[in-house]
Amino acid sequence: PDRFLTWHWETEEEEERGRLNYVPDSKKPNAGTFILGKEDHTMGNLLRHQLLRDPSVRFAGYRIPHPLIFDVHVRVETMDSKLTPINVFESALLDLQLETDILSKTFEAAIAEFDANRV
Amino acid sequence: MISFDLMDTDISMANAVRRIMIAEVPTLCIDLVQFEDNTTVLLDEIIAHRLGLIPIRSNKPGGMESWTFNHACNCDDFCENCSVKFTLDCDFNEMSRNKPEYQNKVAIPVTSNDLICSDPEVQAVNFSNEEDLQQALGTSDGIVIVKLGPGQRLKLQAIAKKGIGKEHAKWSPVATVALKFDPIVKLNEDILDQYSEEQKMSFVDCCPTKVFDFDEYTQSVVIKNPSQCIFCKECIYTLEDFRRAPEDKLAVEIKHSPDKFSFTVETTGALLPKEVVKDALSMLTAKITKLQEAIPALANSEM
Repeated sequence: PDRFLTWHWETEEEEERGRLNYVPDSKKPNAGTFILGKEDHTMGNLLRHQLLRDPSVRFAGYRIPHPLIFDVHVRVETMDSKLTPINVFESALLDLQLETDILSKTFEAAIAEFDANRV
Repeated sequence: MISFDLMDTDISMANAVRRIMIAEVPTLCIDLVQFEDNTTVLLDEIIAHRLGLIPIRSNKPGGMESWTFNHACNCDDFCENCSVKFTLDCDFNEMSRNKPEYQNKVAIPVTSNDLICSDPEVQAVNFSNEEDLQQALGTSDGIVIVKLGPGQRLKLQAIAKKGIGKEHAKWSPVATVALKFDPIVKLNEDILDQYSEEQKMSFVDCCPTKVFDFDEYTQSVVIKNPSQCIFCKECIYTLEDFRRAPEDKLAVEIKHSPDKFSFTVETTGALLPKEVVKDALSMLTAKITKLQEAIPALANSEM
């Protein structure tokens, strides 16, 4: 496939359909696979690591089934049915978002401080 | 070029930021070249490839966000919002006439300084920080594109577009991003005391970055600069020679810190390092937000 397809969606509707999908596991309860379109190890590893920090997650792993198909599969299994994989995924994303917000604010503050000291 | 320390986060976040800085922060680069005349020694496509690799800096207010991607733009072909036009017109005979320093030269270099841009706020650069730029403005030669011999001529038009490193490495704004774990260095005093002074001195000397120091007054080894450790394991090899039995513990223990990292970012000049890091962090936030927005649709289809 063309190289720009690693990150470029051809049509908007394809983007809406393909960005995030969920396939529940047919054999186990409380388990499922999230399919993220046009992503790579950057997000896959980040999500998997964050999911593993959640105590209600029994299994979390990610894989890229084929390097020429630009999808990331994240498989999540929770301890019991109080929290479904979707709930756990949502809370992981929320934690990550808060963390990146704090990161960017701290960075901007540090840059401002550095510039002030230099001048 | 800047270096900063990242703390209280984990390695996957540090790696994600590093990956985004390399591959997903957008910049401007020449993407389309139309040749009018090329009698130089290099082929058209090779010159086009070299032109694409030249870093281009835009001083437009708003940074890279003020440019749209060409494929997403509403214009027909190219417009001011999504592309910049460059022209280059170099002729050996003209250049050796007009510029006195080129009078007797055999080969005249065509450099990135000869690329003339239609937008005054955009220019080709070859410096990576502001001090160098200020010092050398007007005196530097620019990046050499090709060298002209007598009678050779190069005339072309080029269009620069916005893109990301994932598509082609020319769009990557960084020269390197170095991510380093901070080391945790611990000395085991009991075992160290068993060694003679000579052994301690050779242990201190074997470290290439001078992490350890020998304190004359107390006749003991102290840790001087733990963060300069480069994990070369020289000290561990030296200590392995010293110990009496293989199952004895080593006197020094060096571990990666799981939550402290140091980044060193060096850019090509297309963007300032602090802009690169800022853009990278905002792109990471945007990615996470987009996934978050897609979740309600999932939940509905689940039910």
